[in-house]
Amino acid sequence: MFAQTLQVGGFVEGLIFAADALNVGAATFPAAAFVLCGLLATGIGTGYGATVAFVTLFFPAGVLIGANPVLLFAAILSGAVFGDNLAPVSDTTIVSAVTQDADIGGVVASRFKYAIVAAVPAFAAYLIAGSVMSGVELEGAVALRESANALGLVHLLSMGIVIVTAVAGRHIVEAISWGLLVAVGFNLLFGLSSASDIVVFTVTEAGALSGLPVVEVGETAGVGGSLYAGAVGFFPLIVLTLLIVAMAQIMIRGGGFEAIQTFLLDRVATTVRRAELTMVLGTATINGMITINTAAEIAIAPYVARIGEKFNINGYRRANILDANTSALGYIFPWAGGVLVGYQVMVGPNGLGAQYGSEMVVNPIEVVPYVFHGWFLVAIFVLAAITGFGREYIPDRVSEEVSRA
Amino acid sequence: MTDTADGGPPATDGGEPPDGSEFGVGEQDSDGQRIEFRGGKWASTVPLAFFIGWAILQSGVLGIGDTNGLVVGALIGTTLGMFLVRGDWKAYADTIFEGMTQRVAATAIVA
Repeated sequence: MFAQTLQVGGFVEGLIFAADALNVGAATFPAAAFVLCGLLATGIGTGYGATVAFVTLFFPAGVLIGANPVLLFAAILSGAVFGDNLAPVSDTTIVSAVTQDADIGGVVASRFKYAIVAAVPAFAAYLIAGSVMSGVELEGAVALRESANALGLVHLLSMGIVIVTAVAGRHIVEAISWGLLVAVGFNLLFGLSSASDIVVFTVTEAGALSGLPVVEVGETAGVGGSLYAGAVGFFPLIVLTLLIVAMAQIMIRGGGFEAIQTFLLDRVATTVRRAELTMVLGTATINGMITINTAAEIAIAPYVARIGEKFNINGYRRANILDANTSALGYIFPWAGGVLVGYQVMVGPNGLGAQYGSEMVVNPIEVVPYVFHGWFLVAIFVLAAITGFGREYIPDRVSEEVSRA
Repeated sequence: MTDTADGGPPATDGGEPPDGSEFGVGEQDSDGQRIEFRGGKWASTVPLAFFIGWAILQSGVLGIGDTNGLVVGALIGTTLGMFLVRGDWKAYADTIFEGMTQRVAATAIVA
């Protein structure tokens, strides 16, 4: 809802203006989106939220400038992976620390090296791919580009409020609410959008209330506006989330998870190297199945702890293996929650496809190979498990007080 | 730090399961209402396995990105699993509700 309100408030036009002014072209836009989305996700601690904001706002701006839609979507997802992995307030970070008996500060500090080793080549890859992969021809793109307008950039402040409030330790629900309030205020104050762009009741016949700015007369009755489109777009994903956690619970109650654990402990994880590989690949596999990444992480966490403790692997190391692979896989596969939240922005009611044309919709299967940061992160942990890079044992370092911030 | 065949003395009992009750972690160990499946423990993976198969077919092979389609796959998978339950199906239905009302479900939706 927040992102859609910024969109009707001209933030996309503002971004196009800023990209032109800063000389960010089609080739460099994906790499820039990766960095900015990574920063936003690290700041607010929710990769899903950052994905929604960037697909709603930066994605159309970038595609209009001429960036390749598939690459740009993948770059945004990579940024979300980076944030989910590193952010101290991210759910996946907290779960990984708490379940492996490590403190959050130490976990974040110790995983920084892996995140950077993956992010630098990912950034380079986006620069290279950005100059190789061409954009799409969009009908009316020229006119839309000329609509570039600096005024929409006031919404940088709306976004800033969300980030500052979230970094200050307020809950994300509170942070977004403040941002939404400010965004609506700016829209109405500067005439960036009318009240009916935000919420509108369409009636078929004029009545007593049709004098109100949010009531319109139209062909079919209904409710609309940015708040409406923002919320309705996510209903399918909410239903899917509930079903997936229900199926995961059935697997836990029915002993399926236990069977997998026994198999891994007895047959696969027989040396410390194989144990770490098992943790990496096991976490990756479970995340491929339970695609709501926090839920997957919680399901696999006890097994990572059990396997790790058997080989005296340090809690920080276990937390890093757990979170990196959880974050990465949650944004790669076409049925992953992280990919689907972005996709819903494109296909939802009054989504990008409806507004700009079908070129603005990316099929989730196409982005799989281009989520560079996600793939590099998994690759680094596979290599780290094989070579022992960064491996620590329990006596090497004792965790500080485990906080449940 | 060198690679040894055995990283250290194995813990006698695999250690205490970590406590993360705030997130619903480890709840599978408490009030262990178990479901018996025809075909043993592995049969409990049928709903999720069916869903993944559906997802691979829909998004991977056919190239259709449609969240509502995935919902149908999850619904069918959940229903199929029920037929494999030995004894009372009520435990299965209860588990569905138990899963849906976990804190993590709401967390995933809000964040």
